Parts: sequence; C-alpha cells; structure tokens
Amino acid sequence: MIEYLIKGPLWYFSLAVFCIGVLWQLARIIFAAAKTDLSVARGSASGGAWRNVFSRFVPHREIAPRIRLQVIGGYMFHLGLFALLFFAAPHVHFLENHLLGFGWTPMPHWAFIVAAQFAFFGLILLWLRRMLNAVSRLISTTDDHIAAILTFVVMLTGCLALGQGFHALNLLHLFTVELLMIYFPFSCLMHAFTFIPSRAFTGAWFGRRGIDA
Amino acid sequence: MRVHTLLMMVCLLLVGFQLQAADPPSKPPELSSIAPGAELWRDVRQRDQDVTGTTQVRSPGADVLINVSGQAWREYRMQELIPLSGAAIAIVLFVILLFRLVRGRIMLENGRSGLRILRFTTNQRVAHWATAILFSILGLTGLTLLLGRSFLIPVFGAEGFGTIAAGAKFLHDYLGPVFVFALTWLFVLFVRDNIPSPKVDLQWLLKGGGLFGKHAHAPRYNAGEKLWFWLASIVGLAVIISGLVLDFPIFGQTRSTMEFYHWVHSIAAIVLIVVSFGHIYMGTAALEATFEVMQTGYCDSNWAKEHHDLWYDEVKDSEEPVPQQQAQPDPGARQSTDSA
Amino acid sequence: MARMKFYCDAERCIECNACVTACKNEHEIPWGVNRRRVVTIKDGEPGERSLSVACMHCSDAPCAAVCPVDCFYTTGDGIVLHDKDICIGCGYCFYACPFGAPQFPEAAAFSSRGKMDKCTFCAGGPEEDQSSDEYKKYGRNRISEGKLPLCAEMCSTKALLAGDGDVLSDIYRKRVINRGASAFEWGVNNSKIPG
Repeated sequence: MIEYLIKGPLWYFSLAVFCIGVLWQLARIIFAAAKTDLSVARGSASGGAWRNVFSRFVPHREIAPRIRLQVIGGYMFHLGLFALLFFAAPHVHFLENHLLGFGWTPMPHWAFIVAAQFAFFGLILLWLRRMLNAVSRLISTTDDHIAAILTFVVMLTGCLALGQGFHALNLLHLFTVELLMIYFPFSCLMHAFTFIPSRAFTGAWFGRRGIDA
Repeated sequence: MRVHTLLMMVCLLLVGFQLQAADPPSKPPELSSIAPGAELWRDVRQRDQDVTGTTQVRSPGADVLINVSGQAWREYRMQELIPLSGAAIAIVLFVILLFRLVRGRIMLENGRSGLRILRFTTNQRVAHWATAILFSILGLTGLTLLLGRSFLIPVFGAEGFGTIAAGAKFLHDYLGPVFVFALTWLFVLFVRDNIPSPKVDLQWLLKGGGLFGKHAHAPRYNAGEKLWFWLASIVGLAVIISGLVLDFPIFGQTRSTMEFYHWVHSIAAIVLIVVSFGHIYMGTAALEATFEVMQTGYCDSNWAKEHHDLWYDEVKDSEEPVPQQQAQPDPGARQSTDSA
Repeated sequence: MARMKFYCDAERCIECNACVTACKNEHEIPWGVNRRRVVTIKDGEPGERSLSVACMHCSDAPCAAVCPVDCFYTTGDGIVLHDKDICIGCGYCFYACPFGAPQFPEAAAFSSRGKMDKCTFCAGGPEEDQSSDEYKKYGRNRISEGKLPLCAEMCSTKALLAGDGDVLSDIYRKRVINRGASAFEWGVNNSKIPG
C-alpha cells in the first residue's frame, strides 16, 4: 500500500508540483523583471551579463580569505551533488526508465561514492558554518534550515538505498526525494535554476551602467 | 565367510593401531600407504598454519584448504568483543550516572560575569561539530552492527533489523573515509594548544582535575582535554587506518589480514566511544556554561577564571561585554533571532 | 533425523573439477563466485592429493555464530542455509569459515561485496520451494525434488559423497577397510607407494 502510494500517486504529484512550480516561478521572475530600462546605455548589457555569470564563480579578492570555508565547502557540495545526481548509475537508470527514455554512461561505483562523500562533507561544513557563525545564523531563515536538512536527509537515505534487495530503503529515498521536489519550487532551493539568470540580470544592469563589478 | 570377517577385524585393528601410532613425534612413513586421506586431513587440521595448495579458483584465499585463523577470530568476536564492549559501555554510563548523582551539575561558583572571551573560532567549531556528527553516525552504525543482533533483533525482527543493519553498513562504509578529513582538520586546528606542558598537566591530574573538590590550575586546555585530544588523534589514526584496510578489500587482503585489522578497528573504536561518553557528558550537562562555548565560540569570563585560570590570565585583555541579544543563550531567545 | 554431510575422499579425487563445473552450471552462478572448489596439495610432487571443498554444513557453524544480522538457519536435515533478503554483505562469515565457503559477487571499493552466496547443499533458500525467486537467489532446489547435490551425484570417481552422515561414514569405513586389506595383503612397506 505504502509502496504503491510512494511509487505511484505521490511520485506523479511531486513531479507535477516540481515541474509546474519551477516553470511558474521562473515565469514570475522573468515577467517581473521585464521592464524597459530607460537610462542611456554607457556599456554593453550583454557583455556585462556574460562577464558576471562567470566572474561570480570566483569569490571577490577582498573577501576571499574570510569565506574560504564557504567556497571550499560550497564547491565540494555542489560539484559532488551534480556528479552524483546526474552520473550515479542508479540515477541514470531511473531517469532513463521513468523520465527521459534515454541514458548516458554513468560513473563507476567508486567514483560516484567519492562524489557523494564530497557532497556530504561539503553540506555538513556549510550547514555547520551557517549554524555556528553568529552573522550567518542571524540572517538564516527557517527556509534555509529546512532546505539544508531536507537535502541532507535525501543524501543520507540515498546512501542507504544503495543496498540491493532492501526495498524499504529504496522507498525511503524515493519518499524523501518526493518531499524535496514538492518543497523545491517554493524555497531557496530554486537557486539551482535562478543562479545563472540572476547573475546575468545583475551583470546586464551593471554592464549597461558601465559598472565593472 | 568367518575367515573373511576375522581378516577384516584384524585389518581394523591394524588400521586403528597405526592411526594411534601415527601421532607425532614418531610418524611411521608406511601410514600414507594405508589411509593417506586420513593423514591429509590430519595435516590440514594441524591448526598452526594454513595448508595451501593449488586451485583453479582465482580469489583471495581460495588456495587455502583450512582457514586456521577463523576460529580464533570467531572466539574473539563472540566471546570477548561483544560481551566486553557491551559491558564497557554499560559501566561507563553507570559511572557517569553515579558521578552525576554524587556531584550534581557543577555550577559556576561566582555566577555569570556578563563578560565574554573568544575561545573557539568559527572554523574550530565547524571542524569540531563536523567530526562530532561523523563520529556519532559512525559510532551508532558500528554499534548497530556489533550489538544489534543481541538488542535490536528482538525489537525489529530479523527482516526489519536486516534493513536497519544494511543501512548502517552502507553509512559506515561510505562515511568512514569522510571522517578521515574531518579528524585531520580537527587535529591541525587544535594541536597547538594541546601540546603537553608536563608540570601543570601532572598537577592537574594529581588533583583529579578538580572533579571532586577545588579547581585545579589549567592552561587553555586542561590535562583531561589534552588526554582526550591525543587519545582521539592516536587511537583515531588506528581506527582510520584499520577502517580503510577493511573498507577497501580490493588489494587481495587475506582473511587473517582482515581479521587483524578488524581486531584493531573494533578495540580502538570501542575505546573512543567509551571515552567519548565522558567527553560528551563533561561538555554538555556536567558543567554550567560549558556547552555554549563550543556553540557560540565565546566563554563567560568567570567560566574561564574557574576552569582555565592560566589561560584566562593570558587573554583577559580581550574580555568584552556580552551583547544584549546573546546574554541569555536559552532556546527561546535563539528561536526569536532565527525568525527575525 | 538425518544430518546431511559432504565427504571427499582424497584417495579418489582426480582434480577433474567436474563438481565445480556442475555446480556453476546447475545454479547459474555468476563469475567470481565459486560455491565449490578443488584444492590440490603438493601439486606435481610425491604425495599429491586433491580435495573438493564447499560449505561443510557444520553443526556449530562459525558463519552463523558471527553473522551480525543472524541470517543463517539450519534445516531439519542439518543443512546450513542463509537468507539473502537479510544478508548485508559484511563478509564476517568469510572471515570465520574454516573452509572459505562464503563467496561474494564483488570485491569493490567501499566494502561493496554484494550479498553472500554459498553452497546450499542444493537445497535452495527460505523462499517457496522451486519458485523462480528461490532459483534466482539460491539456485536449484534438488533436495525438494528428492535428489542429492549434483556435484556428488555426478562425481565420476565417487570421491565426493553427499548425503546422510551416518551412511557416508559407513561407506567410508568400508573403503578404509578395503584399503587396509590390500595393504595387509601386499605389506605395508610396499616400496611402490610413494611418501
């Protein structure tokens, strides 16, 4: 019964919420931003946009020493998560069988676990830093904490789900993923989709005004 | 017919006699001509070393006819490791409970001062808690695998516990290597002030760390904290090395190698777990105004004066008033800042 | 109640590895897993002897004792079986077993072994007898068909025997007596016999 719910209705529901929610949020942002800029252009907006998208991958020189932990932890977490999300064999097979109809070469088992370890350690570092630094603690919202804990739980159950033949553990992972997908569009997790548009928007705004930032 | 039976009986007697006579030290060579099979098995069962041969099967240990170390490992695991580690954990918990009942919660003698001193940087606290989280996960999963059969199967049933144990095994195997990074980082950040200063540390230890009476003099870290640091580092290194050998069975480790490293891993891990209970109790419920130090990084000046007087003398210039917001670090106050 | 046992007669085993092959074929065992193997001592030297080894279905089985999840059980016939739905692939049974019987489909990084596989005395597992589930996980269940393990059934020299322990020891006792008799006839110091 529970298995049916998690694999059937809840899966489709969460998938629908995820897709529609993400599209709706993106549309909302794009239309909110679509106002004509009447100022006289002092530089290239598109040039600024492109520059900003890439320059923000590296922290600003002045603050780099103070946020070293976030940068290292951030890259460990995001690269690890990206690798294991799209190149772990179980994920590739899942995407192939349930969503896309085509697959690609997955990473070997050990490499995907190494990626998971990086993601895990990175997330622990980032979350602890958020909790333990007085300033980041003060500016953190409930949303930030829920997002971090939900992601942590998904990764934890993901580790558990690697055992073949333990259905309960697989279901647990799928269930937490579904919770994450439902939560995703309405939370800070949307940054996975918005980080490039938002960088580009800021960059274009700066570029048009001739600000080199 | 009767002759035949008689002959057989004589043969049996002969065989029996020769088998008896075949015991070392004087092994008559003619025995192999009668029952070499029996002799082969007897050789094989000479339980002091592996009898190896050749085989078509290519896997580690396939050429070993009888694995002689298995029995010793079984006896270690079932008769020593499991009962003794369970007892050790129970005893330590009991001692902590007893200490609590005798000594109660140890309060600051002069109350809070309203002044604070920075004791741990953010990085130190992140490293500490990252190690703590991983240590807890690894400890709990490890104990599940060690003691779960006795304690959890009656609760969850064999199938339920199989699922739990599988989860525990994967977490343990996958997160173990991450612990290496956490512990290394912790070591680097904390080693400077944990270098022993024999005179002060010895005096502290002689006074029993002030557990049962007056406070003993202590620098930034007292001898107890230093002992825990070095225990965690050295025994932790043993856990890490043995754990990595066990976690990567891809270099053709033999069974006796794995058994040896399992022996190291289990003893070292139990030592760490048992001592960590003391550390956890001292850091949380035992002493007033202690947990918040690793939480916020700041300690109350009176706390520093009482517990680490020598360190306080060094850093008292950096005292600062506690900001209004964090004066009362109780959960309610923190939640209100969260939602702000 | 019968106690099922294997017995391998080193005087008869000719290291043909047919038992290994038969076992692999009967149970569709994957690469790397060998429920049975033949070990030759003093290969190519005087006194060479071979033994076919698999799970010996011990009465006080070390694997069952050390298993952290208690997945082993002994059938009424004294056959030691295990439940792959519970097995977590920790490898402890392999450390404890004197005969190297427990096998694992993988030996990969991060202790990924897969679920343990071993000789079932051709008696399958806890699943319903002769179901496809049982066949997939444990191989053929010949005992439920009233047949003995295939390795012993097709051993050409009858070196490998399987069945009720009492019957086997009777057979073996007779063989020893006959060998003793021939030794008695020819003299125990016969120079033709090596070693």
